Amino acid sequence: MNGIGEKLLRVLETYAGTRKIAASEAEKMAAMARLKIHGTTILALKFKEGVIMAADRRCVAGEKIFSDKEIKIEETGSLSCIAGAGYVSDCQWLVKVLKQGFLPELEKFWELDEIFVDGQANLIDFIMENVFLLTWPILAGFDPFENNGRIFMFEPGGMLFKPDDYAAYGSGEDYALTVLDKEWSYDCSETKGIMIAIEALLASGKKDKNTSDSLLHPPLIKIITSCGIKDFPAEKFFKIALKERVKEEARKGIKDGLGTFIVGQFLQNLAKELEKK
Amino acid sequence: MIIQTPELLFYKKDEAQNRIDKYLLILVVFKNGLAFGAKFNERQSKPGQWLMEINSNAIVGGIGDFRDFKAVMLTLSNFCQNAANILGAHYLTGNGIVNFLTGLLRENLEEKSVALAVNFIVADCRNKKNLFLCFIDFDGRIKQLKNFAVAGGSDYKKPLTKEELEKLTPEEKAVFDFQKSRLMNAGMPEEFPLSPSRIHRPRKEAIAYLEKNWKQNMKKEEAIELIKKTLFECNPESHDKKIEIIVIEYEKEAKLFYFQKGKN
Repeated sequence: MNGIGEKLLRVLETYAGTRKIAASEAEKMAAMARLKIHGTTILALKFKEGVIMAADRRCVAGEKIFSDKEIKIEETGSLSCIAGAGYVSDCQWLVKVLKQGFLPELEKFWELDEIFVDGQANLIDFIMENVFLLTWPILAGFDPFENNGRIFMFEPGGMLFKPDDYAAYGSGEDYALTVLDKEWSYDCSETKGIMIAIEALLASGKKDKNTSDSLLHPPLIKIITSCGIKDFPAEKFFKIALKERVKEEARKGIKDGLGTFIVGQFLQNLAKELEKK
Repeated sequence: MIIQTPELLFYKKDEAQNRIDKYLLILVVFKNGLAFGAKFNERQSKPGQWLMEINSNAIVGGIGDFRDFKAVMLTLSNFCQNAANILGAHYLTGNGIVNFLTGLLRENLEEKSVALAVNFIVADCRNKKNLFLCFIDFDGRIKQLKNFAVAGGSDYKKPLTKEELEKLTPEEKAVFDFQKSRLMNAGMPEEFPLSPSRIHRPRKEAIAYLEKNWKQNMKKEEAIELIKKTLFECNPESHDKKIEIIVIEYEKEAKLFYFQKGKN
């Protein structure tokens, strides 16, 4: 009788295709040396009742912007989400193996209702230890066993980190982390958490060329609590982002900035409508 | 390679059934936990040797050939360790353990020269209001149960006493003599295999006794008393008259109790 590990390795082999199972140390080192090959900003932060996950919408292919409508956060269960930086194909493959291979296989064998975020983290770690993937995923969700939000970060070598507070990956991570470092507190509420995530994405969108401008392409924000996963509405995000931009432009004395222009246009339209009435 | 003929399969089943032996393992569910009970021999047995804890929720009990039980438990423990490393220990459920054991027992019966001679009871108290309880026979057949479970207790024929021999009718006596001479010629122990009334079925007797006496929301003491009575009533007589009862209360450490027949 084969062990679970061998069974899962067989599942991996089925899905692997041309991907290499168990890459050599040299390959891993080479990949680690090219750490900065991911162009995006993904982040997750804990708040009192759960965890917030946010990601920009830009997908780049070298110097070219491939798409500004990419959805980078995928739900892996009723209480967990995953987002990845790095090679899109590897990240998509990882999610596919997890959602279509490992989770159904194990849930069927152990007759479980659901494998939650902690189990999923162990499985991703197992996949990344055995298959060489150039992706830097963040898994976040609500853990019903510990009754709080949890964040897991992975690296191509198969490393697993469990940050207690927040995490960010991608080319815009430095800008996002600066905001998170400054603003995050252990007792932050949902509203405060969302505001921090928005601020972090605005900051990275402004400075990083691989991160989409949040004002033009509202990022995806997911709020995960014990009740489930909900999306933060794009309209609300747009209003907050615009307000922030106008404030910033006023502070810097920019009179022809994007924020001021949009607000100006909005006010003009409003005046025209009032005139008509 | 072993050629598996229907005769060999029957032989293996019969042989395994015999090796499981006539003694019982009983599990009774009470209000705040569950209790296991079995025969205990101070010289041969270690306390709790027929039980294995998988995690804080699941437990496996077995009875039969101790060598086979140990071999299966070693494989199961490796499997669970592996699964716990990959997935997390709290995800290991009674259902998964049953799936594993069923496959293992079936494979052994059908492919190996000797079948594994063990009966198992798997309990999972993840859902305390509706405890998962499953009996697994040596051939991998399973029965999902409620309230109590009985394992072991293979059918056996009790040798006739002098008084019983004297009470036999002339026809029965003639058949008995014929059987006896045939068995002696074959070098087998003499028994009286003819009358079905001589065949004892400890498992069935224990199930009937428990069905009659098990109550909803029993206290710990009541459960211990019920196991004690069932074992003293239905377990075949042996030179060691001691029994061991292991009480597992939810979120508490297991407690062991020992009782001897005829003593308080």
